[in-house]
Amino acid sequence: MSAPLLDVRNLSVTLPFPSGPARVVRDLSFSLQAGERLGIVGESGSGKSMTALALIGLLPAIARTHGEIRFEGRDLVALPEPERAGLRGARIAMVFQEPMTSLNPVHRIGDQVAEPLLIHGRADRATARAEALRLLDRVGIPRARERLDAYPHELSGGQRQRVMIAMALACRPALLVADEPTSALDVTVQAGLIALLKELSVELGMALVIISHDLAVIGAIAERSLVMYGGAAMEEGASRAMFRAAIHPYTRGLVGASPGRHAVRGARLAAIPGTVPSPDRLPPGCPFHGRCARGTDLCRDMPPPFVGGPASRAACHHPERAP
Amino acid sequence: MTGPLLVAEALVRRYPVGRGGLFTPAARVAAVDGVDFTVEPGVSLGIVGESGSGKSTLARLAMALERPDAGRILFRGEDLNALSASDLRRRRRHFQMVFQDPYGSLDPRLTVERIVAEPLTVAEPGFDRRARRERVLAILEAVGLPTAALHRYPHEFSGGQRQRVAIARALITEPALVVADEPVSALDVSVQAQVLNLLMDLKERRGLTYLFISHDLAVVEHVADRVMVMLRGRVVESGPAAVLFARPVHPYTRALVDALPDFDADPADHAAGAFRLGEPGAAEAGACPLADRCPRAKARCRAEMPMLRALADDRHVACFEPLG
Repeated sequence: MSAPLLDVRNLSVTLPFPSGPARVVRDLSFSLQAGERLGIVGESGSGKSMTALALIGLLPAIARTHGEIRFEGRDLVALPEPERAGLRGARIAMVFQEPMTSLNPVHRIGDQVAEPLLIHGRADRATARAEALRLLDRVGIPRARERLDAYPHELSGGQRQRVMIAMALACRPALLVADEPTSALDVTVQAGLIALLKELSVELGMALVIISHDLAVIGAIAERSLVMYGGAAMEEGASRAMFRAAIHPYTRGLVGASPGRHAVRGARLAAIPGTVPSPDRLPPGCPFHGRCARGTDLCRDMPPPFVGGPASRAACHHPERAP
Repeated sequence: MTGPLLVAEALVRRYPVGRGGLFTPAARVAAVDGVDFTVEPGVSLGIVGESGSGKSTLARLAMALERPDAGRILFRGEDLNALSASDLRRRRRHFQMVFQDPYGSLDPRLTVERIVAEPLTVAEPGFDRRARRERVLAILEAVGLPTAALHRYPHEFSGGQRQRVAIARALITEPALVVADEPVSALDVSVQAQVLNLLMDLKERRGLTYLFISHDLAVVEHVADRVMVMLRGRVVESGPAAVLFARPVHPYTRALVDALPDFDADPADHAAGAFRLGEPGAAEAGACPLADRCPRAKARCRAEMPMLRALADDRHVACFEPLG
């Protein structure tokens, strides 16, 4: 196997809380081959969005980062900001949840899609505009030529997200990080965008890290998934196989709690007791301790190692099955 | 009690769009455009729709929080909008509402005891304090909150617990009907399941009937007995939940069902057979509300509004080109 495109090793992100600094990402390790699609699933406070911001290098200034994010052979954590800025939007691009707040409301969409090409010195103005047109057309904006001069508010939510994707693709990044890219959209619009992201990843050989709270979205797009809780990796494996027969009690819990075609209509769902804890109130051991039916004193005190083979890994002292 | 609990007859609610000119009134768009439905006691009705479908307007009309521009809303046979203000206030104890946002719908300055007791204070002003506290404690227990919650404030609770407070408040007057508008949409999956289970338990234990509104098909499918699918203010398909989701007839329902793959399904298989709609365009007056997005749309769909018609399996559909 060739060297991975992205290799995250023991990444921790610390933020100040009223009670003192707390880790919102805890000792996270995962890797991604070129062209591969990885889903990161988690509830609020799981650290999934902080992980995305760490990858793109947009963590708030008050955050402290430890560990390594090796991308195309370089450690992004150690890289000085000017060099990181050179990668951002060029080799690594990002799509956020809210296209209305990420697009500039006073600039025409053609100019915004062309902007990364100009910033990174990839094209002159005329070429960049022609490329913007091609990209808008490719992401499925109808009558793209007329829309070049439109403003974001003239587009629907789904079309704005397509414009964001066009912008992200402008410099042909090796990695696209998409944080809840469809969560603000209606489901029928969401379906089209999921299909588009997947197509583009295949067509351009672009690796994708897609982040969502929604197992169904992740399952539809990513061949491999990483489940996070309380800042830590709980389980990683092939998406379908993992959701069917999870190793970690938390993954099983998430699947059981989701209403869907696997659940019997009107039957009680297998709810997980308790609530998602704040990062500054986690036990030193497994973050899921306290809500887990299998939890013991060992779980509370000792973080379980993230172990297993290439097919699946999990961090659990008392797994539901052998990894 | 026989007869339906709630009946909507040809409900219409229009809102102004823009401001109009000096001598021209603002244009008005119908958020709810001729909706009929019946809720039988004990048979929960789910209303599914995306943003702009009119489902939340319909909830407010059902609660008589807004007056329709045309049509009637009947609770136990009485036209709510024909009642005097004081009669309507007295009837309110029988139909209560739970909102999406447990942050915005609870007054942050009041204790849980005051929040939960408030509808009771309005419905039964004669209640003395001791008796009222007894009632609050009983309902807190029923929704799974500890006695200690009584003197706490909303911000001291998690989102799921706050939604339990909102449910306790809705149930304290022992209503027959609870209108729940996106009651679990703001909650994490693990907590959402707790609240859904609670709603199902309460339904059984207290003989409640729900009008359950959500954009989330899976949630509605799980909780509701009958389902109504709304699009741009109109009902496009309705029927028993089991039938409707298993074999959707309207292209919009089919697209909604196909849009949410089960995480258990093979994504490749799923994508290949999925029924997809185009991006929404502008709604055309006098056309099918899906005409701009529907791959099956013919000339007639763009020229004429399909009306709801009954199918053999207790279902209604408004479509000229239904799926087989």
